[in-house]
Amino acid sequence: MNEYFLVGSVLDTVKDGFLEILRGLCDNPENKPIEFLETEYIFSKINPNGSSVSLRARRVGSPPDQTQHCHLKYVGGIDQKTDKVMVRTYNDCLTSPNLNEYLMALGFNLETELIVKGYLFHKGHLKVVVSKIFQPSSAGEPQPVSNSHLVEISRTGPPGQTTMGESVKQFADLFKPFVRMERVSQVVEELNF
Amino acid sequence: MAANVPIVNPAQRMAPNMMPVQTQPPYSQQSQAQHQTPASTQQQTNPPVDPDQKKIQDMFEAINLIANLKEDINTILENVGKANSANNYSQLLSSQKQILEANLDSIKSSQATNQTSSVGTPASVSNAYSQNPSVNAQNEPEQNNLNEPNEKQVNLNEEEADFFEKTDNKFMNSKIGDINKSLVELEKIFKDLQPVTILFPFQGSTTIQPWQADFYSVLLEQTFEEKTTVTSSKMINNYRYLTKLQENCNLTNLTSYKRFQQSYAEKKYPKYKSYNNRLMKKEEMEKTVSALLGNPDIKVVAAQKTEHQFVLDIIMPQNFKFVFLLFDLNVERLQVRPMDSRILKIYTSNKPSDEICFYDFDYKNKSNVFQRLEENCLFAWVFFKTEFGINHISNLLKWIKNFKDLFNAKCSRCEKHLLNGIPPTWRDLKTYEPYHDECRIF
Amino acid sequence: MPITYVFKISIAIDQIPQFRETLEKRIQALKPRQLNQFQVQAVVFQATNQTAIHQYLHSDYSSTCFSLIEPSTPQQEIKVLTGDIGLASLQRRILDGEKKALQLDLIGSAFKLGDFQIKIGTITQNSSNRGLLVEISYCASNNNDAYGVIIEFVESHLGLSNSYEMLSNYVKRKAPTANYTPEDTIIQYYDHFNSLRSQTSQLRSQIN
Repeated sequence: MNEYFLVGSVLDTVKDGFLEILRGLCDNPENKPIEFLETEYIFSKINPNGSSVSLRARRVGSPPDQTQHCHLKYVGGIDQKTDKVMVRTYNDCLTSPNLNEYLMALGFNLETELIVKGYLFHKGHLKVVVSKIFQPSSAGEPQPVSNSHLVEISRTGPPGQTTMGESVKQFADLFKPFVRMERVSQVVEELNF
Repeated sequence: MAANVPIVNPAQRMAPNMMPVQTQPPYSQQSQAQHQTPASTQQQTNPPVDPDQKKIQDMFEAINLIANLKEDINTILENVGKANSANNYSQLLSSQKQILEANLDSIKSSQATNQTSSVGTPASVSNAYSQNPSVNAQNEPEQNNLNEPNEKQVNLNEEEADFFEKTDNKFMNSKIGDINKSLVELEKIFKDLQPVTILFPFQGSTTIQPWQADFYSVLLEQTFEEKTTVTSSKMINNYRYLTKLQENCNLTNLTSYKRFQQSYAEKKYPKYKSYNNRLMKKEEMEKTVSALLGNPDIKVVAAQKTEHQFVLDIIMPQNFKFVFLLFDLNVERLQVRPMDSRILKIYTSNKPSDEICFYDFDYKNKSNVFQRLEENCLFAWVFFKTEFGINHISNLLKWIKNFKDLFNAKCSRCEKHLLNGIPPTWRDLKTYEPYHDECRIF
Repeated sequence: MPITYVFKISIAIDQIPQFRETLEKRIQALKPRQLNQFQVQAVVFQATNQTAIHQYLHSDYSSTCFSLIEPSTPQQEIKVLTGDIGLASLQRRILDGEKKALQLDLIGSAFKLGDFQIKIGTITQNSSNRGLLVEISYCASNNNDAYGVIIEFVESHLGLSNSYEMLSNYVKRKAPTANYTPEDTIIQYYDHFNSLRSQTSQLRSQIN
């Protein structure tokens, strides 16, 4: 499976207005957006033949909470050939709560731990996530990484589907005056200049 | 009045029996006694025929009068506040009361003078009335006193009439109280006349009580109303439970338990009268039930659906639960359901919430064990309900507690776990020994 | 959740089809309800650094994939990860660079008799018979409750006498009041498959 996606960012001060616009654009505007609070763990392992694997495990709630299930995700590197949207390989599954122990037993190392708090919208098969990322600290209160929210539009589908990429691009164009949805490589280039 | 005949002629019936005694060869002393007896019996028996009849007729009169009184009182109660009509009625009443009392005096006198040969007719009642001027003399001043305020009221303005309506009400109430007093006296007299009331001719074998009750209900309506509203809800509840129990007994179709129903039904009936609808709370229910079970492994969760309706889950460690639908502490329905072990895990980690606690009327067990267990529980419930009445839940819980070894108990008869693929699903009702359904003895 | 015991019937490999037929005949005589064919697939990924992963698919849990890590020492607890069927495709990513070593299949017939579910199946590896397994499930939940009932069922209806020895060590060790979950069924399969593998390796070494 491939994931077709674009990312952007919005400042905390204008986040609320942007959420209202998203409510209008996406399905079920009469409902409130789905709120979530998740903890993401990034595991990595270096194989004997030299290649490295990284996996993302997510669980609902912040660390001390007990959960019933976990979410395991693999994302590959970004394919540089496509011009409109970013494409990467994507595999995920739901598992039982002992996922972390399992990965540790296989020799994976825990790289980073992030707390993600945000809102989820959907429009057909498109998924829009507006989230703020925190870094857990030993003091107790998690510290925000930046003073802006991450905006992500994504869609999964079989590889080689150009129409899927176009649908993501079209929907991203609707945000134009507020948020610029771009490929990460372009953003990085602009920042350098 | 044809029914009078056998009562009127007891002496005539006696006569043929006496005849052979007369025809026997006379001994000196016996013959004298026998010759004297028929004469004395004729003298004694014949006169009482008339007093009995007279008494009965007097009674009949008295009852008619009372009926009239009742009608009058009803009309008075309807027209309370209308001064003029009330005035008339008060006169009517007082005069009729005099007649009544005179009548009663005559009855008394007739009782005292049984042997007088005067025939009891309505004329005698009127004679008695004329013969007792003292009664009139007592009542007349009362009548005058009662009339005075009413006469004043006639002269009052129409504007003030409303005000006096209320006072008039009070007056009428006091009058009704007087009537009640006199009626109580009347009833005492009736009680004195017990032998007559037993032989009361026109209603066959029934005694005088039905119309007495009716009589009371009209007179004391105001006081009765409050009581009836309290008791009627209780009565309805009791009635509902009895009929429900009977339905369930009929549903089981167990001939062996029908025997219990017939023999115990009359004895146990009074227990339902002491049924107490005290309100219970959810926590109280959980506490009492877990105290009755007395086993920390068995979890109890209760949910209160309405004021009296509870759903009670008794969760056994074997991953199944008994679900009771309760009305206070009366079991209405019960069910046996298997449980997912994951739900049980949630139960153990958190405090069980009553949201999961509900009664599914359409639920059908897939596994034979629980189906059979549910049927057996129904039988046991009917047995305990007929045997112990209102206290059946404690006995039922004591019995149910023994299913903690449902799967690893051996049948005490065949000493095996399985019979037809089912472990022993029956516990003896008194010894709690495990049996297979096929192995138990009735 | 029903309790499941898996019995391994130790019998010579050439007698397996015959004995399976007799067992099925004994069950058929009780007029059970015939269920769909059942299937268990075990794939063993052998890693270079000595940790092997066993992936199990069971037809009773058709949208679930069990992934099991072989403990390095026998005393260690066996870790089972239960996931949806996507875990099977993700397994390749987890074990990037580790090759598939061995695949075992168990195909057989299933019956329902009262509250009991009986499954009789033969283990095949590369379409050659390896062993015979009998799986019995009952609606009770733990060893304490179900052991007597299931053993009595096996002895009376299947005619197997030494049923205690046919159980896996895991069942014998398990606490009597602990509840059974689908993971426990998978661990029992793992135990039996492992013993079969060790048997075949012994046989090979004997031949050599």
